[in-house]
Amino acid sequence: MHRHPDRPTAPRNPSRGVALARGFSLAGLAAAFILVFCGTWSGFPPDAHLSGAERQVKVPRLTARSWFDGTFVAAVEPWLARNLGWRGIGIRTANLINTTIFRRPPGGANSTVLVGTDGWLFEKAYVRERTRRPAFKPGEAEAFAEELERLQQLCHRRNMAFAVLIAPSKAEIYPEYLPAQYRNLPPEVAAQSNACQQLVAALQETEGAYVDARADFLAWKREGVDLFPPGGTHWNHYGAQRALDHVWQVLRGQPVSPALPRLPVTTGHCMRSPLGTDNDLVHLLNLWTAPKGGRRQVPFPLLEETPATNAVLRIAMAGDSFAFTLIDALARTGIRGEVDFFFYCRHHYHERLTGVRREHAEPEDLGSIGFDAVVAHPRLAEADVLLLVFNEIHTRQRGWGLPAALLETNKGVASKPARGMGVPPMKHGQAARATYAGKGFCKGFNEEEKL
Amino acid sequence: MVFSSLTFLYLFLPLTLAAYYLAPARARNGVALAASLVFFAWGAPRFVLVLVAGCLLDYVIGQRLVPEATGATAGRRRWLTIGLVGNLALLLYFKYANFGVEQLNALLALAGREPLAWTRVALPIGISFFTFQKISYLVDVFRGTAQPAANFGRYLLYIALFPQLIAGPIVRYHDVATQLESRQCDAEDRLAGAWRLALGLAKKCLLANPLALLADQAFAAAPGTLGAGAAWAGLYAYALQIYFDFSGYSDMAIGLGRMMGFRFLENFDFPYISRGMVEFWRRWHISLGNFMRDYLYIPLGGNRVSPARRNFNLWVVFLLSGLWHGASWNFVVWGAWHGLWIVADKKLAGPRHAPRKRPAVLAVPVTFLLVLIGWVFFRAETLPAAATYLRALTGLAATAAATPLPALTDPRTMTAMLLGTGLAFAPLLIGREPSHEWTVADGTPGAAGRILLRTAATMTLIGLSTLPLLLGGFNPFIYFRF
Repeated sequence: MHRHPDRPTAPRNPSRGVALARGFSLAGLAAAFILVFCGTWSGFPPDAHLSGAERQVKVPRLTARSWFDGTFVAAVEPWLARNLGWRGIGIRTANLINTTIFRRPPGGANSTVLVGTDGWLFEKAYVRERTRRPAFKPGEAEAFAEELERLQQLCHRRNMAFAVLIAPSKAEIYPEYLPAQYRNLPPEVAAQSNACQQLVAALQETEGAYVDARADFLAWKREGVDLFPPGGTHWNHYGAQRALDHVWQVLRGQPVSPALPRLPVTTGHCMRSPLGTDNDLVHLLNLWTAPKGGRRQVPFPLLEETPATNAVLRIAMAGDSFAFTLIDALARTGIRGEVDFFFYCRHHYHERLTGVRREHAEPEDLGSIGFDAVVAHPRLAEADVLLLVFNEIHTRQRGWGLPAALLETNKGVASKPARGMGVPPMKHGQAARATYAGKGFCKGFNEEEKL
Repeated sequence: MVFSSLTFLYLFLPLTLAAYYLAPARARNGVALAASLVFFAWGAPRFVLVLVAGCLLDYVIGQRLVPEATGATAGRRRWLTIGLVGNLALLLYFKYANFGVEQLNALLALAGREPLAWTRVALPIGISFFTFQKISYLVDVFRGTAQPAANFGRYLLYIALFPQLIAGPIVRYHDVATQLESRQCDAEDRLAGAWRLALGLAKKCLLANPLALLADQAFAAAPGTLGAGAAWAGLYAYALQIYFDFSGYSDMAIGLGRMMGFRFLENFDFPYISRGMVEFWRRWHISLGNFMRDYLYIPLGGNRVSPARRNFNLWVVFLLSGLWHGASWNFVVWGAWHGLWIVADKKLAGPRHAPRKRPAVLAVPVTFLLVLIGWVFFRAETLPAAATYLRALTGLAATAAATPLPALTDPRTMTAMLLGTGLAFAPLLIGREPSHEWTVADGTPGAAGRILLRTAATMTLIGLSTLPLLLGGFNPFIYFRF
């Protein structure tokens, strides 16, 4: 065999120790790559779980065409980045290094989370809205308010209570915990009304029922109890319960028959470990351990002992993720009934309220059904209560088009004796869970639907 | 495919090495060639035909360049000319046609004429490097310094061998001709190669990429918003970035080659400790310098011509070297800048001014400063942008609205800057030039322990370098937003 002239020559017989060290090293290197390779293709050895939703990635398919037009190659890297063995372990380790050594949020500039002071975390989307203060185009806020008022009138004609609940942004309620550069807005920016403020002003000019929880939270904040958790992006359970108290009060004041029952209201709070969404940003950071400040206790609502009514309610909710904590709050009251939540007016969640008080709900994920299916959904049509819940940063989405679509679908429809939005009743055997027998408020369900 | 990608590290490389090591010795060239063609075709499969067809032409011509084959030198020279012109024509077309048409259209616009309609030509990856290797083959065979490849597959492997295919080092044919026939690869080669691969990967992912944040921000700053301090910081970051990026890639190529039994020559040797421009070019992109010397400077006359002619030739060599880096006037100016200082350095470097005798405390900073200024032309998008940046370096361009660069306060970038400085100037700090290799010879004290330590370091560096690649593809939401 030819050897390169520059090549150092090694003795022919290395010592046993050296040979063993080399053998062990080669085996170790090979094993590391083999394990990663196996993890990629088979999921074994197991990986650390990663929190947070990610966009779908196409599975690369190798064909002559996909190879030559480059689509296979373009799909491999993102697929591998998503499925590489021990990816979770790697990402959690990287996050640990970034937060402990460099004091930076995982993901750096790409991170969706900002680390504030005292361990408070903020989702960047909310901070961006705070600093940019995007507004409606002229006349748009008034048009949306009028749309909501008309939807409320339609609901009332269907004997259905309706309200809009505008959830506050953590960055607006607790700017003092934001990183210094985002804390104080320049006076000219702070003086601008954002879309939420424009909508509230417009709603005040209408008969529409709404709750501006941002104003509530700013007032309640002075009581000295946290309304958002340091480690979460959503209102904490105490804040959500109080928001429910307020919106339920608004709903009860509406002309539906029979009137909505009274629910147990919040009387105080206790401190306990974070629950569910209280730590959603901590989980999103995917650290091996929560950062300093992320482990503190958070307030939890205490409700009056008044038993919930025997009424059985069908509640339809549409909106963003703030509604999940609101469903928890409903479960805590001990009310009976069902909640159908149309997440971003695209995805269906369902929760049975059994009449037994529970700390939190666990809505069943019924999958993505699409916007049109939501508009025509029987659960929306047959509800006793329709609640539109959105965070202030989503104000410009105009309820993701749902109010407009419901008005359009029911255009020209006069009041009907039966409850509903003009959706034809479903045939027998077709999705039995959707065939409500009850035609009025608190009439109960048919046999299949008994709780 | 790039080395610093998950696809290469965790898909292509393990499969290729497994197939290579498991194959019998006589089949290894075939495995390496198949893997190299897949590597080249990754993302641009149609260019494989350009590569293979061009190589076939070279191979056929190469057979006619052997002195014994055709006897008459004139005939061999004619074949050589055909080969060189063919290869250079391909390079000119793919790399410089767009640039040429742009310049022509600019002239036509000045003359008030309609611009030439032109569909932009896509650049085959690595064409600058493999064209030089093809030239090296033809010239080496013509000169008789190497025998022509025994078969087409072996020649194609020389050109397409994936470790050095797309970014060098530019391997001269006579350096690897015998290795293409047979080579040995023992456990030490595989482990030392893996270490070198890990070192290069770490240079790229852990140093060059964080440094690029600062450099990119500095060079992207709007005119008048960059203070002198920030401009120098950005330029220094770029100097380190390009060094670790390029030398890291060379380290990976050398390491990969060694894992397969190939020994490539070093491409970088602490260039920023140079005491003059001549020395800089002996330490920076050594394989390009060697190529230019052997295949351009010496044929132009080398040191055998008059000093004036020699200086002119030197300058032309660097001008062309600049143009080889990219089709832009910036690279031409960069090459001219280096050529100018090379000539000046040669003038200075008489017996009494030997670079080695220059005081490091003066010569190193001056040389580094000249290199830094050259990088402005290399990095800026256009000549006016380079001029703007040079103004920013003087502090004359900044206005009251000068904004700090976010990367200057990013501890990761600053850590990379600190570590990078330590590594780039290591010989000055420790008083000797550390070896680029980590070879553990048998029989030396503590050999077994050092082998295990090297393996641990290799795995740690590969693991750490993978983390940014994983994070780059991970940006989750709490919930999906529709």
